[in-house]
Amino acid sequence: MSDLPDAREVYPNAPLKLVVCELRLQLAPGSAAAAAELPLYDEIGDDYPLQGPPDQGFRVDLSPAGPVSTPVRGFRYLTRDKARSVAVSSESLIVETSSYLHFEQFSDQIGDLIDALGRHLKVVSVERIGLRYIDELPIAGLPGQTVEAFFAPSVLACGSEIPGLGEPAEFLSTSSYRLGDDRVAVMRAGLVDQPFVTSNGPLRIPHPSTGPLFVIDIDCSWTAVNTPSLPFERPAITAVLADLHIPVRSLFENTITEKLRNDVLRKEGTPT
Amino acid sequence: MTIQSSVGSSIARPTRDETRTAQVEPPALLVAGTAELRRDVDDLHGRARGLHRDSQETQLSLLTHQLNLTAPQALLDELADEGVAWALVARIVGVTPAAVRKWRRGETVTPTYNRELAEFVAFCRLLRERNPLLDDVDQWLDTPAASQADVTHANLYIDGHRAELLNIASSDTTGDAILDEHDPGWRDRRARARRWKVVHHEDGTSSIVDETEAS
Repeated sequence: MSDLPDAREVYPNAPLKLVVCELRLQLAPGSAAAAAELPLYDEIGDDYPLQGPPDQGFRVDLSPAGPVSTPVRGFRYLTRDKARSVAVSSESLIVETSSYLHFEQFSDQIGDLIDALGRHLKVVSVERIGLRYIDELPIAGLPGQTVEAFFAPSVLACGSEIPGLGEPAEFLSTSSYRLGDDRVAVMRAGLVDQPFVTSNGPLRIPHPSTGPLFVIDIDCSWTAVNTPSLPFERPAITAVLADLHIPVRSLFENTITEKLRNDVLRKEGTPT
Repeated sequence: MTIQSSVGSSIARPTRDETRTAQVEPPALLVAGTAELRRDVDDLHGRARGLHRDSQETQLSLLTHQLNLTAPQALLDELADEGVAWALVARIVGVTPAAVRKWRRGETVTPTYNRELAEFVAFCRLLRERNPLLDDVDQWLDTPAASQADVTHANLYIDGHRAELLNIASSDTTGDAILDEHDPGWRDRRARARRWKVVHHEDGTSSIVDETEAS
């Protein structure tokens, strides 16, 4: 990693579209996310004044008569510019942003929300922590409108031409890196026709991508499978988040080339 | 999670548990993800159903084993109390009605038929457990099990689908589903015969009538 650029360099034309942190929670018996909806708003409403669409999901249970799905309901609050949101349900706390500056700031925002939610919802444990970064680079924004020379040969390999068939119209590789017993980093990278990050979601995406584009989706997670679950406490959770953040930069920087840094990412005023 | 390949071997495939966000919905991946989930649920549902069927068969088998020690006359008395007609008992056990009459008079029942009687009594008891609202066991057994065929619940019993019949009684499955699983061509083979007949009247007109009405 010694040939990587300065780890603290913030690219003026960064292709980062979305950063998500998800904490999977185990609530105490009888606790319900709905009970925290208004008290939490009283506490964080100055920063997150807008109400957004709740985190929609469902749980599938099996009975002798077949699968039964139960909706999982929650609530969501957004900042006034809709660039950051917090979604709470009986299963998770999700913080996401489309205007990420740097990790320390994001981690502080998550820590503040853990402190606030912990005062209104009895969370027994945290079972999974995920930290996900999605970068999108429209091909139209690349000089020469080609991916060659801008991305590492390893991620372009599955886009190679097959005799008689030509090059794939789309390709996406998935690489999973085990970071010990309880952590994993999964990176999906490739050329796709449609953006991963939709502009139809709860957040406002400042510069929505249009296809085709090169996507780099890095998802680092900790899961309490081989290790004990965590208490719902700021120090323990932000420490894990800091650990999960470490491979993100390495994976991203090793996926792109110096040419992309110089020709695209370091150029001012040309949002990708 | 495993995928069953066409040659019967299993290929292990890792399950990906991703960090969720409402902001990401790549359609192709979403479709792939829901298809994968559906496959998993179907697979699990199939295994749960198989396990449930096995447990019902075990329960039926244990009760049959206990009742097999009971005298045949007592078994027949219990069936009589249930209101099951002797003709139906004869069909279920696989003998003539005359043979059943002889058993009622005290003639010896061979061990094979005694076991059949014991299993039928065990089945009737479990049927009552599964559906306490069932009024008439005899009538229920003679009722068509499938919507488009003459197959009755008794036919399914004789064909060996006893655990599944208990599931029909508790409304956990249907006769159509059982036949679809065990006899895929049943709809063609067992479709109701078109029992209609053209009757020519004395005044020269004709009518299409139910064959049974015409005879």
